[in-house]
Amino acid sequence: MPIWVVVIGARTLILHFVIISDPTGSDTRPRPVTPEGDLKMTIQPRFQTIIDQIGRVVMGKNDQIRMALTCLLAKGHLLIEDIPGIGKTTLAKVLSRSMGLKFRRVQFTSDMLPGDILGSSIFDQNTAAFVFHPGPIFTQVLLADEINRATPKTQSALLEAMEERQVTSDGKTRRLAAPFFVIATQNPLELSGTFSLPESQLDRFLMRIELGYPDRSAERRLLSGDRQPHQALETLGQCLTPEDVLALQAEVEKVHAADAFLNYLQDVLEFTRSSPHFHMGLSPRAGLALMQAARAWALISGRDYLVPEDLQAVMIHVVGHRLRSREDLSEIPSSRLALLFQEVAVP
Amino acid sequence: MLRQPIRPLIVALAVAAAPLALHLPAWAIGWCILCWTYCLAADRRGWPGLPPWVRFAGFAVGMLGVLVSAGLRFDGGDFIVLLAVMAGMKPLEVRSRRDSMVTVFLAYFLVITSLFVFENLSMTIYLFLSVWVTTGVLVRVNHPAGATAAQLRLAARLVGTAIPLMVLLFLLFPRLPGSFWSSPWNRQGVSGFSSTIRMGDVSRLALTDAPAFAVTFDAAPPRPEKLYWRGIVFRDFDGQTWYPERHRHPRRPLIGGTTRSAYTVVMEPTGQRHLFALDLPQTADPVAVIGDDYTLETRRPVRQRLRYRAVSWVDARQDATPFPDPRYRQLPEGRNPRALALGREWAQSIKTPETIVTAALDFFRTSGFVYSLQPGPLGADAVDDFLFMGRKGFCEHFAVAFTVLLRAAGVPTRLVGGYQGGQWNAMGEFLSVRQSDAHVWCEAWLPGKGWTRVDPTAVVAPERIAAGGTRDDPAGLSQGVGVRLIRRWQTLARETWEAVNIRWNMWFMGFSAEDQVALLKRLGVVVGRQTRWLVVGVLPVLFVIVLALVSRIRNRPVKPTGDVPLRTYYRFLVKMRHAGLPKAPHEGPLAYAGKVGRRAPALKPAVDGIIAGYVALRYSRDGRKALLKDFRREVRHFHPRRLLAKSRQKVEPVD
Repeated sequence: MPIWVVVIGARTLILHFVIISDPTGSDTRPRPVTPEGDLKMTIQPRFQTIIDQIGRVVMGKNDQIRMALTCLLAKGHLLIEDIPGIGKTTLAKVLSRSMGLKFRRVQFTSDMLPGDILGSSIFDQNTAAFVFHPGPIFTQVLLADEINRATPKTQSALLEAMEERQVTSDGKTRRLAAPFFVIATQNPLELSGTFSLPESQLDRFLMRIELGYPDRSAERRLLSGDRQPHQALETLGQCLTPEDVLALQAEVEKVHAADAFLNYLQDVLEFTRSSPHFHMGLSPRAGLALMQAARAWALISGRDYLVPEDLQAVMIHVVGHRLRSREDLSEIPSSRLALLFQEVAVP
Repeated sequence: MLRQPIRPLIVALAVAAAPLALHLPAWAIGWCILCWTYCLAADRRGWPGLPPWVRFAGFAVGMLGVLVSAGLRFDGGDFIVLLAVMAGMKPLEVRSRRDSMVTVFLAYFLVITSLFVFENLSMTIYLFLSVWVTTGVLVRVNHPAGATAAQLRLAARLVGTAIPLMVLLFLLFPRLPGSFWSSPWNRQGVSGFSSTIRMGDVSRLALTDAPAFAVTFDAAPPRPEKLYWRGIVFRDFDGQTWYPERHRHPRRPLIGGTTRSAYTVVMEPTGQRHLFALDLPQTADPVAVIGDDYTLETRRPVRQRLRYRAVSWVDARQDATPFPDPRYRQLPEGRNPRALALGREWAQSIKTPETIVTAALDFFRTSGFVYSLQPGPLGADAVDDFLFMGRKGFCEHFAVAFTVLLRAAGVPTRLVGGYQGGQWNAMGEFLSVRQSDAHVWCEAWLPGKGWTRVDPTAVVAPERIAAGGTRDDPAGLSQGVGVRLIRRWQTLARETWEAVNIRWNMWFMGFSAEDQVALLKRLGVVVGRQTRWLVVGVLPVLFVIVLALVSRIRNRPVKPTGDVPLRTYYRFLVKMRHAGLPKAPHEGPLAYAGKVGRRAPALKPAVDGIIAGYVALRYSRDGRKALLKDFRREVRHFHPRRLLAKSRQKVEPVD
């Protein structure tokens, strides 16, 4: 319990980053890795359990939970853009807990240095040698809170590690944990003392989602509930093991993409490049990102092949932060993006 | 449901209706502004739509207004009022995309209506602009997500792409001969000579600067003092008004012309039947008949701009034939006694008509007559008052007084109305004749010579004839260099604009059925009178059939190419479309199946089966042959309309 007090304290003490090691992980019994065939058969019900379970804590946000899971299975990283107090941290915590993943949280501030995230070597007088003290990045799920408060230097250190999945310090390369999932949050409002992420850095996030306000009934359940969300969180069981997650991530790679689907994906890419609405079209990397996200979505939907609807489901979240309007280089609201992509016909 | 783009729709309507405002009563303009302002406010503030009874009441009030303003006679102008009233109210009931489309087409219809009313170049350019804006709104209705600039660019591309087709249809689409299109619509005021003339008519006419007609000559134009544009010949005089001869006789040949001049005239509508030709015309375009007094007449009144060609001989005379009708010497009894006395005196003292004419001209030259557009008031004996008291007048006063004097002296004399001179437009190389060039002169019958032109105005104000008009302001010379330069530029700009306009009128507005036949002939297609009607009848039908076929092909949900599963899927989609459940192009198969399940539950099992088969064939790892056979059979035996009819379920509206 005192650890949660620290968490709440950390939210208020914005000027200092706080590292919290996950209290779970060791005390829950890891399940045996299911054989591959079984895993496939039970994917959909199991995901439904996860989504239901997370939904009990983060209420009324099933779509976003599903999208976060997709992002995790696609080996991507997630950027959540929303106002404070909407449940971003809770989502990250519940996600990691229900899969038995190690979780750490870093509150970004403007005086942070790259070493504060990656870790640094400190001279140990006893051994008369430099000893590497790993930073908070050495975990499985990292919540990078308010990433746009840090300076570009720190941001890029994190983002580079995200991409490479390894940290090089003092000439020694250290690999990060195997399921490695960064959830970064960003305040959408233009605030003083923030450094907004440039396009090239945004590109490193597979998806960007918005949580949004809960609907009326969800908020009522939240307000009238006798248990506080963090109490509910502690009662959550573990649905998957980290090994399961790795196996599922491998499974995503095997999802079949037929020619018909690839045609549609290429039509979408071509549309963003030729349409007069966009400043610049999607890059091949964005195309790969779309493919990967659609595959994960198909898997969660219980299919081992892709249909155009998979792409449509993830499209807005994958391309929303990668496209800009031609007129004023501003971001295109997702409602308008959805309408624009209706111009691409499904073959 | 998507919110409809009310603001762009109103912009399209306003742009399309703006030219018609010139022809609308004030209440109709106010009506449109009121309705549109309400719509804009409702759209901005998110007010709910008006209840049906309010809309119906508005409709009733609007219709009442149209009926009151139209009265019992309902002509083209009242149709425009009706259209404007309905265009005002249309945005009030726009709810769905379909309403938006109807409104866009209403805007197009307003543009077409403007084409019936206006013919000039500037309005045509404006209407192109209006078509562009309306097309932009059409794009917005169909692709609400785009930015306005991109939509307008697309609309410009669409309109631009249509231009070659437009040119082709302009040249080849069968035209009806005559003024079928324009006559009942045109409410524009027409000015020009009427078929009778009273003292003061011409000077009033000459005060307006409106264009009368424009002439392009095949060769060099005649000198300004030779430019007498003959319109009407007046014979009978009742003391107040001059009337032309009713009956027309076959004309006699021309003799003694010095210069032949061939030219093309583009005449503004006058509402009269007479045309204008250079003194004296030999041949004229088939639309006109040349009478024995060498005036041109058409069968129907000129209600739209008319283009015709004519050939004239300058300085020609008419064959001196037997002495003319005695009515050319008649004068009303008891009027203008002093003029009559003077004429009789001349008749006794001077023997030959030639010398009488000379004496009369001398009288005008020496008696202190003044040329003026503002003559003083004249009494009942207008000619007497003018000749012996005021001595201030305009060409008509001189000509009428001259005719009265000569008739009193026994010389057959008649009055000719038309135009004199015109302004040469160096930019477009044409002669622009305006109402201010209106002129009246006389013709006297001289033995051995026949009818001979005599212009008393030329004696009193020779500069009026030589300069060809009174517009050039000689006072401008006394002004500074800057002012003169500005004037020069103004003149140049005006001349350029007139030149462009005249080409426009000649080549585009005046492109008639006859021109079309000539063009076809040049292309090697000979079209006779009967075949033309055949063409008029058959070509549009063919055109409509081709259009229908093209649109049918274009409207297929997808192209009929691809492999067997795809083709089978298309067949399934066609069946669904006929059952009223079309697939949107962007819908994937699973999403479509979901939609069908919601809108028509009776079809759900069959559609789910077919879609599952299609998805398995098309997207899964291995599309099996056996599956394909089943899939094809399922689609073949799938009859959505029958299924729907059996289940007595209706297709739910779009969700």
